[in-house]
Amino acid sequence: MMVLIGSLVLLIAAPLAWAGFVASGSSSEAVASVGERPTSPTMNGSGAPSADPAQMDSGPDVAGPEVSRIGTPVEPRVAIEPVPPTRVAIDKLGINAPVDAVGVYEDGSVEIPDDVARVGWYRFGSDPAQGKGSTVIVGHRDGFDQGRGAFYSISALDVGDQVSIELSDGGLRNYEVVAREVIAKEILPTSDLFAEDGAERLTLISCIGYFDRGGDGYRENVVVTAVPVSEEVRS
Amino acid sequence: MNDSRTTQGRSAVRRGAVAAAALVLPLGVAGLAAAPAMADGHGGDMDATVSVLHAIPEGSGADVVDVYAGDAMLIDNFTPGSLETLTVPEGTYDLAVFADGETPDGGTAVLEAAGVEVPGGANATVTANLDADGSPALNVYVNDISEVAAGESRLTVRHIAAAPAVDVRADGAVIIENLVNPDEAIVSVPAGTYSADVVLAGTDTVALGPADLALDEGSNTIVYAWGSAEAGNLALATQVIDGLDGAPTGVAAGGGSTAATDQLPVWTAGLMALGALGAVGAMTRLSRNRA
Repeated sequence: MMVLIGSLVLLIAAPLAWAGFVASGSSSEAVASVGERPTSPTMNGSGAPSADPAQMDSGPDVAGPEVSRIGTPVEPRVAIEPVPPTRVAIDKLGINAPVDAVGVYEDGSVEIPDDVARVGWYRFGSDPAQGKGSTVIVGHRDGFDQGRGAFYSISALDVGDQVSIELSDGGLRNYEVVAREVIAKEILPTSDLFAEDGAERLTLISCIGYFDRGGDGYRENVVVTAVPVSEEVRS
Repeated sequence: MNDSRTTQGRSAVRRGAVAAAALVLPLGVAGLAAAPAMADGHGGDMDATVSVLHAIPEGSGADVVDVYAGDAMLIDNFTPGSLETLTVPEGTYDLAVFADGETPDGGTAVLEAAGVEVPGGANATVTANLDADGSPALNVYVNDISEVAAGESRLTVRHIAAAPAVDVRADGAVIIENLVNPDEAIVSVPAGTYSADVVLAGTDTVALGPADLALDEGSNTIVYAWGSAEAGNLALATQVIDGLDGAPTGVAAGGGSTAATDQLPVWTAGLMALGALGAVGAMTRLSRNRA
């Protein structure tokens, strides 16, 4: 009888264990959102900042009566060469993952490294050298046949936790978590999360919540927002 | 390149040196996108962005010019091949090009366009160029500053040269066909660097290029083909409007690298099989015990 029960338990428990692994008790109820993410101003699309009116020419170089001027010259914006992140480290969670530069898939969603041990920096967005906007790093929560991904546990981050990234130029940037949110994928505010304007910040995104086998996998994203820590605070 | 979208047509409005009729920016053009600028909260006193391109080749009587909007000077000492971008208050402008030193007060304009309507938030480019027959002309184009899809780049090509119809090729593939002066064509392509050239329409006869064309993500790169085929001075001028980035559509960061996320992994099947075997074996033993 014991063997029968044990076998039946195994028969039922194996698929449940897998289901538990993919859901892993981290539904939206288990992980609440904390903190407040800085928002971005609407992009103006003008493509260039307004020039200082004081720098306008004083007037034409023609002789005779003074000619009035109209218009403010717009100087072309000088692009700052990106400095891509190469590693992300979160000591609290034992995370130290290599970062690849990624773009988008054909469906317009962010490309994520196939290897779940690696994470991706969105190369069409901001980076720490720009001094503004959101540097976005995305990572798989887990892989079908690879187990836990690098960002498996980022839902455990709290306000005040430290995150650091290494850059391709050898630099190191330190950030402090200001918000952790769990957001349904359908309403993910991508315009804010991927904004190249606004406060300088680091945005980590992974998946969480109910795993919909027949659908698109996890139904929610976990979003962790961190802001730069000044050197004075760190020393 | 296969999924590139093309719009092409006579959105440019052209007027010659003796133009008197009103020249109005086509407000209905989707690319006008005045809305984003409204977020600045300037109310009714909004600025517009206007670029001016001097695309009349040297030796055509416009080597050094001044550009005026009404009585006020817009650009001083403007030379062929130059592009200037300014912000101006919204309004209706009488644009005129004068030889350097001449003024609206008594001077005779080389080119003029009266009643150009510039709404707040608009982004437009005015070109002083040659028409297909080689006569000076002023064109007004509305620049498409609508959002560009994530990963994509917008390419606008404007034919403002005294030259016949052309095709534009990128990496050898025709992406714009049969473009004539003063038309423009707009395509959306994956961001990247392409080897671009301009050929006589329907032929492999290269008129311009090839040149490396870096099309950055989230920007509108506007390429002007200008000059005169007859005079042998065809050239390209480029204007880039950036900051049009669209955000990605989402982040699908679970389920890993395989598409078969709706199936149980192999190890669960193995354990289930083991369990099933054990259950059968136990039942067999139970029935034997009863027997």
